Amino acid sequence: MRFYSTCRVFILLGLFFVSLAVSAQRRTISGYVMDAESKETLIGATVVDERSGKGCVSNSYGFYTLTLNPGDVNLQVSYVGYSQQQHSFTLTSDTTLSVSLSTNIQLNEVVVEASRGTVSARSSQMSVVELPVQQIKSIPTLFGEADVLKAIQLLPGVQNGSEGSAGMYVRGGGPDENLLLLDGVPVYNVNHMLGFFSVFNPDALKNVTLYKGSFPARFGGRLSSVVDIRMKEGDMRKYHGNVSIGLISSKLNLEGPVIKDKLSFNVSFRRSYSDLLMKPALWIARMQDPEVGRLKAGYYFYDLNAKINWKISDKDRLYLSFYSGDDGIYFNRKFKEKSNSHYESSSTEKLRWRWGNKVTALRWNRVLSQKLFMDASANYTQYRHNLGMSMIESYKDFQDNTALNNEFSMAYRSGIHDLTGKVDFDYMPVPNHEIRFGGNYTYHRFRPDVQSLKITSDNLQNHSFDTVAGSPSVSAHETALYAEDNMTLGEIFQVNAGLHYSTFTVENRFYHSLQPRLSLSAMLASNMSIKAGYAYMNQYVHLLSNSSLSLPTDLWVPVTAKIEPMKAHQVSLGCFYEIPEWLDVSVEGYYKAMDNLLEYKDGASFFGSSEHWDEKVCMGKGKAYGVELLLQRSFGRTTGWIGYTWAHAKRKFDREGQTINEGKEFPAKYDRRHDVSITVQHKFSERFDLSGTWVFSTGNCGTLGLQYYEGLAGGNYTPTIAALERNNYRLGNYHRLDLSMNFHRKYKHATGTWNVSVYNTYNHNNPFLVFVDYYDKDGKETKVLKQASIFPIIPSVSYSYKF
Amino acid sequence: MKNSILYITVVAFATLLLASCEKEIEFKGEQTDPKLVVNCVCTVGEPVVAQLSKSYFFLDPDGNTEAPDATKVQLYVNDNYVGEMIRFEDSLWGKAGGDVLRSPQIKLFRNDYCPKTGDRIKITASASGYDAVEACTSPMPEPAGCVISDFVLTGEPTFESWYDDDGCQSFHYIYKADVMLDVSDPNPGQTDYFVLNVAVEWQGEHQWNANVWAEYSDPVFGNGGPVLGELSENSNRNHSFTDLLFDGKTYKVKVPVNLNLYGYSASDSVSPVLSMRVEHLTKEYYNYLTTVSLQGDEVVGAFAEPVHVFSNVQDGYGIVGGTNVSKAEYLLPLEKPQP
Repeated sequence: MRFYSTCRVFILLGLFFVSLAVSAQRRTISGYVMDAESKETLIGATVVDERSGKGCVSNSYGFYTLTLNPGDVNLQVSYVGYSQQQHSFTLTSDTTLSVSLSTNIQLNEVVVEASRGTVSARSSQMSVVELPVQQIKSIPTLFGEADVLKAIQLLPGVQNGSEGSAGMYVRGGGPDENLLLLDGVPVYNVNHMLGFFSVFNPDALKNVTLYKGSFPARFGGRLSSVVDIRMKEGDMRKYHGNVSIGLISSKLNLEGPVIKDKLSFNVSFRRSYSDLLMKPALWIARMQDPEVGRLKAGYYFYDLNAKINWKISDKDRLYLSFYSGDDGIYFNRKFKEKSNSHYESSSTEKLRWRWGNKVTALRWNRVLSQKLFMDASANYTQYRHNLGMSMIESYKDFQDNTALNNEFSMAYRSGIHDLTGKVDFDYMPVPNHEIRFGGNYTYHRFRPDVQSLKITSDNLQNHSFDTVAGSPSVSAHETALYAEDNMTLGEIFQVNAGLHYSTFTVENRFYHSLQPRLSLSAMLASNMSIKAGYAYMNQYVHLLSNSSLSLPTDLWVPVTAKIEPMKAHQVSLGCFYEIPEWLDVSVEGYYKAMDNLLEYKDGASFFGSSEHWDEKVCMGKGKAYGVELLLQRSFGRTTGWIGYTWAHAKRKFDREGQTINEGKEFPAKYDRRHDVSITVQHKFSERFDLSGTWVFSTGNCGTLGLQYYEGLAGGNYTPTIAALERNNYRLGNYHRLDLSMNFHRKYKHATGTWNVSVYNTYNHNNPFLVFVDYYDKDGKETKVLKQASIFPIIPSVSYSYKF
Repeated sequence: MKNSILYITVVAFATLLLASCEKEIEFKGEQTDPKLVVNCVCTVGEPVVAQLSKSYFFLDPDGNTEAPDATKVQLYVNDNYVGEMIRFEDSLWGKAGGDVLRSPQIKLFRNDYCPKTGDRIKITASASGYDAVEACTSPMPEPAGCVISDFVLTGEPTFESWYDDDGCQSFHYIYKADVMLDVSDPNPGQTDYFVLNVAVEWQGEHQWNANVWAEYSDPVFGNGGPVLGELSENSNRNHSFTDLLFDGKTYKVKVPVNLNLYGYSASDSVSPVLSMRVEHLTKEYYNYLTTVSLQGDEVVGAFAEPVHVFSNVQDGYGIVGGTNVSKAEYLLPLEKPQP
């Protein structure tokens, strides 16, 4: 019944849009906004007719469409970091106008106003932040590795996990509640090296936008945030490259035309080399102790991003995006021993542990008419985790003429595969309505955990064992339909209203939800607005994790008959103010209520139990509220932002048989009351720029056993046990200053840059964990509380060569 | 001069680097009150014995865990009141060299009721100044199959004898053997929980002692992954496992055992028996065993949420669980050493 009501709502919305289309005799200007040199399209460029005051913003593919009354038009096209362009003409018929903007050479001379269409005070959208990739690259980071997610963590409303990790906790949500889209395709595992680095190589990226509330209807599937990351398409006219060498990894980026102004490519590759550096150490170990045997061991990660952009015609474009990234740990040991003619023994031990993502998107953009733009795509995304261990032993006794062979192999696999078909439309029938609608279908294949074991042994008596166990693979079907209208109501009000309807079918169970989304904006002055928003979000997949670190063993699992979809209602209210030619200021408050959140039951683990995973978890509620302040400057010689967040995040698991913390409310792990981040970049000259980041936050919550007791005594051992109340203790405050300097040197056709960074410049001992220590004081044992820190001052240096 | 500046810079940097890591801090949280602690593993066919103690604040230097004298403990079976549990002293309790326990602060309470398969055992405890506590087991499990299918010496036993200062003759036997143990899961399609224990029991005069180590690498008994550990009773490493990989089947595990038998003035009647015990556990007892063995794991402690040791005692701490013991025995081929 509810399904048919939903259909009726969509039909009514469709009729409404059709009526708009035939409402007036107007003319439409449409086209792409591009970089003048590379012909790379620009996302979020502002196109405004000065005479009528009507305007729009270029979409994710740089396409804009603006419908106006016939007559004289004075079109201004602007984008951050680019010189503004004006086009004056008389509009008599539908017109195609693609605009190529040039970058500002002298940043202090040209001022770009209204440059950030989706995030400015003039937009109806709130809780959105755009981060220029160049700014991300200049933020000082751990080991000098520029990182998208670490930059996002510096924004108000976004918390990082433990120190140095790339985990994201947005407005009190969990780490699996963030939809990270790479060219519109979800990426499930976004971390390398236990979360110390993210998988997104900034050299391959063009644009990063974070939505943390008041979500437009086109997004769905996660509760807390959407990070929309777009890859560079490649220069249509010239070949460029960039080589970087750092402490942890090296990177190579190449882009250029295959067919000038028709077909371009962009390829980026990054690889760490800790395993290569370990080889000499292993060789020395073998030389010193031959019993070590032939040994190969190491850890590595790599990323490969590639994109092809084919401009088939003025109306059609085809994109092929590809990402592949892996982390790997390997260990190989071969040992052979021969005693003259008596015996010969050999053993081979192998460990292969690999995990990573593969993402592919084939996208077709078509300008169906001056007012209608289509984006259709077929996507594939995969996360897999494979752990394999094997041991082969053989022993031959030449005197007895006997032989023994033992073989043991074990494998653990988990993963998720998604195949998606998607179509989106941008439709601008009249100047005051910007309509988006579309739908998608995703086939999910979950492989939560499969363990296999094979033993063949000649020892004692021949015996073998061969078995496979674990949670069975699960297929699921997810569909979504949406429609949203960004409406301008007179001179003051803007409304973005939309509906997102999604369904999820798994194990003969059908879940669906209709999710209303609403954003309201009222312009109080030409540069000041107040905004309010509401979003209802549903999530059908969960990440099961035993640890606060990002481990490859974390499992993505779907909802089941027992585990219902996670839900969140979020309301937000904010005030936005632009200080012309200088700064944007925003203050936002939010309240988020969450339900069906998942946690492992006490003592449950992903491994070593025959229970289905949904027996190991319990469901509960959460709530989060807070206020965020952001002062951001995105252009000029000095850029950066100051962010402050005051926040609360709580959890309660009190359902029958599913209690955590005895059913009492407890603070979420990353419930931090105050969070401040100051990020500043200043370009002193063409040869030198400096950037700095200072962060301060209230300490994390931790679990500290306040009462100790004796466990079950047995044999000669009585364990002492800590009674734990979840997140009952707050660690000390966290603060840190990072600095980064870039020294540029221009060559004839290239630029070389030395980067010197210092992480935790004043070497503050930031708390990572606390523990009880014992020492002898005047002959009496005394207990004290101690705090451990992990990252002291860490300098790093890297060199990049751009040609 | 340049070298001095470089030297000072390097020393200053190294000092800063090494100044990190750890420091003493003041505890600014709330001081909580102690609670009653009940620990009891009910075994099918044996009287119920509960261990009573109390908790203490973590920075309390004394760490007193002795339960109040007037603690009242009661036993219920299948929600029916059976009777009070009576305080008793074990002769070996708290004494060095005893076989049972080392903590002198734990008080023992006993009821002669012997649980049967399917019983739910509930224990309550109360004392003045403390919250009353209670805990209940799930149904007592049925026995698992447990058979020693083979025993192979993996080397010649070694024997030593010597005289101590008092003129007594001592003996030391060392065995190494591979024991093949067949474990059968009694409930196909249902999750079952087990623990494996190895010991030497004595028939005849008890003038010998024994230490037994069993080191093995087995995916089932190693809780799903190869674990090298010792099966000794003075470790918190218990070898609990589930029927994940042999649900409803019989699983054959090779347990290499290392036996140390030692004694003095050996009697002719001594004959040691290797005892392999497979205990079928209730789920709460399994949860307790798995979590208590994880507690204190340094890797887990440093990087992950601390492991909450499972407790089913309401308003207090501890574990009340159940087990059904199956035993496979093998008479060790011990010849009386000749002095």
